[in-house]
Amino acid sequence: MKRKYIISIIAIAICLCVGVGYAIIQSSHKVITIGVFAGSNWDVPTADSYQIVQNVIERYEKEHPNVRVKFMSGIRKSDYSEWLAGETLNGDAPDIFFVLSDDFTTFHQVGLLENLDSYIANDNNFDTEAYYPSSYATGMDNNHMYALPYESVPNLVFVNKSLLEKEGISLPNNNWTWNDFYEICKKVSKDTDNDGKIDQFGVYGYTWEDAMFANGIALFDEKEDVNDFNNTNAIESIRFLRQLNELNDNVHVTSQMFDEGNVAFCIMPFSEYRTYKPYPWKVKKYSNFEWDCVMLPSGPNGDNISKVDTLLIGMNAQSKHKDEAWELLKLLSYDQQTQLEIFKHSQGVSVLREITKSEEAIDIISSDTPGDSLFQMYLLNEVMENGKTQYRFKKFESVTSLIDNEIYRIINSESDIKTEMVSLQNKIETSLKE
Amino acid sequence: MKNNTNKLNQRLDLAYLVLCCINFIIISFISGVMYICIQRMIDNHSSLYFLEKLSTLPPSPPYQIIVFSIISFGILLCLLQIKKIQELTRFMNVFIYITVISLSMIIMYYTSFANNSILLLVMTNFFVYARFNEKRYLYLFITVIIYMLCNFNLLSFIPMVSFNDYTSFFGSDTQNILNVIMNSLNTISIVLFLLIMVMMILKEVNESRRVLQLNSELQLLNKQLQEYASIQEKMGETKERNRLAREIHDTLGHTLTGLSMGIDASMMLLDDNPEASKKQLERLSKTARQGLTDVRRSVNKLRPDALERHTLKEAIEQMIADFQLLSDIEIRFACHMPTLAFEPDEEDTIYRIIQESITNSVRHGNATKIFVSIALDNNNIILLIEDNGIGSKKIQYGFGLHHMKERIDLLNGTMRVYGLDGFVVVAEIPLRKENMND
Repeated sequence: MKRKYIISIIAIAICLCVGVGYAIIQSSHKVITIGVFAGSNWDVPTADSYQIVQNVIERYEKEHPNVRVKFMSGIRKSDYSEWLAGETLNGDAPDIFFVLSDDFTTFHQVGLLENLDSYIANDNNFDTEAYYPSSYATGMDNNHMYALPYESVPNLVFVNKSLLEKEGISLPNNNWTWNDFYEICKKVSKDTDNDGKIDQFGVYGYTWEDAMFANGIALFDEKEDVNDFNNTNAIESIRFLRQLNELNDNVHVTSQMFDEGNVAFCIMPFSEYRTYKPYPWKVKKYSNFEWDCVMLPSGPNGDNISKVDTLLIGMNAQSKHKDEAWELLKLLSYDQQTQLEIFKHSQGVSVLREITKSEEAIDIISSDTPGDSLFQMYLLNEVMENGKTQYRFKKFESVTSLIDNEIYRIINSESDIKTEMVSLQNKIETSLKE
Repeated sequence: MKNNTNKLNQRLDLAYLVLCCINFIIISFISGVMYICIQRMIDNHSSLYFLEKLSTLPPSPPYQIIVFSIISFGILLCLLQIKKIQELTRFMNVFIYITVISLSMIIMYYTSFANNSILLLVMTNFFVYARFNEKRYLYLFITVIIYMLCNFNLLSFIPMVSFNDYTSFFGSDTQNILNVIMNSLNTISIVLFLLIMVMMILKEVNESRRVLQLNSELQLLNKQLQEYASIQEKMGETKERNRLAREIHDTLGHTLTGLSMGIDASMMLLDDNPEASKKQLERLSKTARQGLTDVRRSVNKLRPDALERHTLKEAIEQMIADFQLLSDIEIRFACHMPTLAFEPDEEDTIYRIIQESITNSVRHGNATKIFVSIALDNNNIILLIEDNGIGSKKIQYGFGLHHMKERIDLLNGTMRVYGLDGFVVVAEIPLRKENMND
């Protein structure tokens, strides 16, 4: 009996020692993993995609000597979502990871993303006001924060300066309206080689989303998921789109036509501007015309509003080192030095107001863009401040493709817009309920 | 019959074992399919597509699901085995029940509540292997409720990844096959459970039938015994009657015949030869006395058996002991005299009175305690028999009491009875002169 006691006491003691030892080793050698993809989030060629992350890791490990940060390199952006989903299913998802804006809903819905509200509330060094509202709202659902913004890219209108000069039209200013937009488009849409077909066009890539934002409508919001499609502003937007489309006389405008210099305006993300403006991409892609960019035109009830796309970083809800992960998350999203590096090594815009407004940032962008750009970089701040983010939800993809198809059909037909919009509204609601 | 029950028990054990195996197969099947699904999804680059359809993540990575659910199942089986073979305290029983149900929930949670037949196993164990004093129906009731609640369709309000979500990856053909396998396993376990329940019922029916049969056999034997007893009694009576007849015939008959013939002769001699007649009469008187002695001897032979073989005290003690052996009645016998040696008729009377009184106390008074005492006071034997029975407010002299009174009257004694507080018999018998001289 006595021996049994002694044996069991020894066994318990050994277990305790092993447990405590393991815990000590664990706490002294914490390893945090980051999920990163190679290449740019904005699908533009880039040279050193890991540069910013590697710099951040270096700084972080210096500040936290007992924590090691690891990441797996070589995952392409196209494979990244799939890789992250696979790791998640295997229980190996990294502690913090970049979240593509398309994937935010998926990963948030399954509960992979940690709710950051308490970290934000308990961190005195963190001020949500430092972010652009549209960037910040991207990682938000029902007023809870699930991912911090990392970098944003607003849409801008790219203008073929050579074409406008040829037609004797001056470059529009940044406060232009739909009327100005339409007038120019109308002027440039013509048959230049007299073969009976229009071969010079006004605009490529101006979507119903751009038109709605410009006319003061946010199509989806957190509460109702879908707003009125048949209110006057929305109908006005669609009518404007139909008018623009009518100018093309049933010819389908492609991006190639813009590249060839036959289209006056093209709606493009800022990252394209950053990438293609400097040498050598400029030569490769848009070599035969001079071009610049301006803010998006405003509708009668709206403002010069751009759609903003944002790359997010989130924390794994199953992470074992959440406090350390939060520090790293902050170092990527909230740190001024990191955010300034976005201008150096990436093609997006910093999500921090201070940085995007700063002289240094403007210097970096301007140094990239030789020649005489009319787009004054301080306007970037204004674009970001006014920018809107499309709220995404679980059926976002299917609903938007439904709307795409329906609106394409409506603007190419003669039917009554109001009736069509009422029926579209019903279709969307049915699709959401499914 | 008993053999039958044994066979049923063996079959029950076998069915239980098969149910355990089926459950193991189900758990391995579900977790294995989940594992293979997820590995295939990752290999085929469709994990993002899978995640998009879900509203929550699987509870654990797939290899953990396999390991955890099988380990939990092992622990659960061990606990059920302990429950099966060990007699446990109520507290331990409840403890094991709660642990086992929790383990089942963990296993079902890991396997997406795709199958709840593990609860059938728990139900079977707690119902079939319950000890007789356990609340088996309570356990059954609670488990049935949990069984009904733990259904994936019912739990759909809790975000979960269903088994169908996993298998949908394989395409509808394979998914159908997997569902068929799953449903078959489920059906097998339900059928097994029903089979076990039927066997349980058969076993119970068997048992109660056996009890009934034993009971009727016992009643038959009892009846036979009663018949034997009455035959025995009648035979004893006949024997006694024959003996009595023989004695009377042999002794009294002989003597009286002799006497009547002698008297006839002396009547004839009386006138002719009074002397001879006198002599004859003397002889007759001798014969008559001889006859009397013979009658006495005969009467002696009719005494109770016990008194023939033992002294009065021993006989009374024997009688009391026999009585107590046959019933739960407590009889105390107090004798306040050093020895009990009286004339045979007196002894008989005392013995019979005690016997009759005890019989009355038991038969009419429902007494549980009887007190018997014998004492000597002024050459009177005082006999006292009291009991704690219901007594009798108004005493009716039945055959028994009459008989007792007659016997005592023969000995010039008196007898009083009281029935207000239990039943009391007080008898007073004066000692005869011969004894007083002793």
